Amino acid sequence: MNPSLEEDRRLLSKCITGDRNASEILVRRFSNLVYHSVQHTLVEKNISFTPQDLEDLHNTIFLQLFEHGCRKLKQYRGKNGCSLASWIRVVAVRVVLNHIRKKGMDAIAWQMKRTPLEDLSKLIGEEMDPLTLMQNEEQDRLVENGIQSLPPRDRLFIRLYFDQGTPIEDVAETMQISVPNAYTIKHRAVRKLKSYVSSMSK
Amino acid sequence: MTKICPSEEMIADYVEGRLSGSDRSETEAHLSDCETCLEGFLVVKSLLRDSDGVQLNPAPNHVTQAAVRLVQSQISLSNRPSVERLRVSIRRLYARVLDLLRPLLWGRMAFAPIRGSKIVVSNGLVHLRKIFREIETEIEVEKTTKGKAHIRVRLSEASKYKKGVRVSLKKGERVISSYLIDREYVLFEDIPFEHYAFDFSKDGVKLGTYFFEIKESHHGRK
Ligand SMILES: [Zn+2]
Repeated sequence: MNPSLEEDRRLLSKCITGDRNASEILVRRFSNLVYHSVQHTLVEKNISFTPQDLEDLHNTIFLQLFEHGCRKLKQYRGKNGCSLASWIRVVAVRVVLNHIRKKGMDAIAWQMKRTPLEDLSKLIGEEMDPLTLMQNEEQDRLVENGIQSLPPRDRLFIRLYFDQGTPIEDVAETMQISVPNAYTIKHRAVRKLKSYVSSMSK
Repeated sequence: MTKICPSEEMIADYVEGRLSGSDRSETEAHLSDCETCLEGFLVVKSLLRDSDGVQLNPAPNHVTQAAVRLVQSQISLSNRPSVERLRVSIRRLYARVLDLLRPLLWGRMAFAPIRGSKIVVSNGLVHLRKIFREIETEIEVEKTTKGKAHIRVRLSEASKYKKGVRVSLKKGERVISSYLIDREYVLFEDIPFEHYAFDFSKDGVKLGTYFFEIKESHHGRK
């Protein structure tokens, strides 16, 4: 095993037994990472914030890791070689997003960013008369059902590429596939969707 | 759709390319169906992308210090069996996020942040000190019968204002009761264990909100 992974585990088990020194080491080691993750998440979601907000969220994340007898920390396994840092990063992002979501702040950012499958409907609708006759809502619903019938990888591709508007190169990188492969998935998914939509709208 | 969201570790493994086979396709299937996880995944991904070459913004020293103290207070709390009886968890953040949110949503002024809290615990009794903009309050939660507690609120000696401060106990948006703190303390009796908020105001001007939850914590920690 990777020596730093082993060290992560040793530090973690000390924290779980209530070792004060180990806990301080853990906080100091990951303080910058957590702080940066909080800041990045807020920026990414277009949320305005103050240094006090960063501090509060930073502390909340550490509190959540250690509260209830380290209930959260105990979830870390490192099974596939996941480092404590990688794990804490995801925990931090989730905590921030949850708090944003609970307070409905996100609705604003979300609505501004999203173009809900409109482009896709258009793309499929090209050369397709039945679709152009349909109401937009109906179209979207049909497309949404069509998406559900696709295999997982194609579905995720569609979410990222059409729904989130991520450039295809980034989608490829995100899904750990080659760019040509991403194009293949795109064409395949659109073709399948077209045939799904035409079969349903007959 | 896979109802149970993948663990943080699963997402981290996926983001960093450590998943294969059914773990990978199950994660992809979930991400394609769950907005919440997809959003988290995308933020983590962008975080990793940005971290390459970009200087990490270091946490200010006092922030790290505060986290160390907070975490260590958790350790001493969980080492004390008496805490098992009753526990008040402070959700200071709720107040802060609400502060963030209000100007965005309704164009209102942000409330003063709530700072400083001290918890002294004895058997079935929790004592808190909260400092708002210009007032310092002491809140005491005492378990009375099963699932109920008395809550006492007073202004501490250090508080700038001694008169005219109003405290309202709220559940969601509903005000349960509201008193002027003009005596030694204000008592809220037999309050069922739940999520609440205290609003503090003076002459109609809001000083701060304190969100909290009273709950029983059970024996036999996992
Ligand atoms: Zn999910």
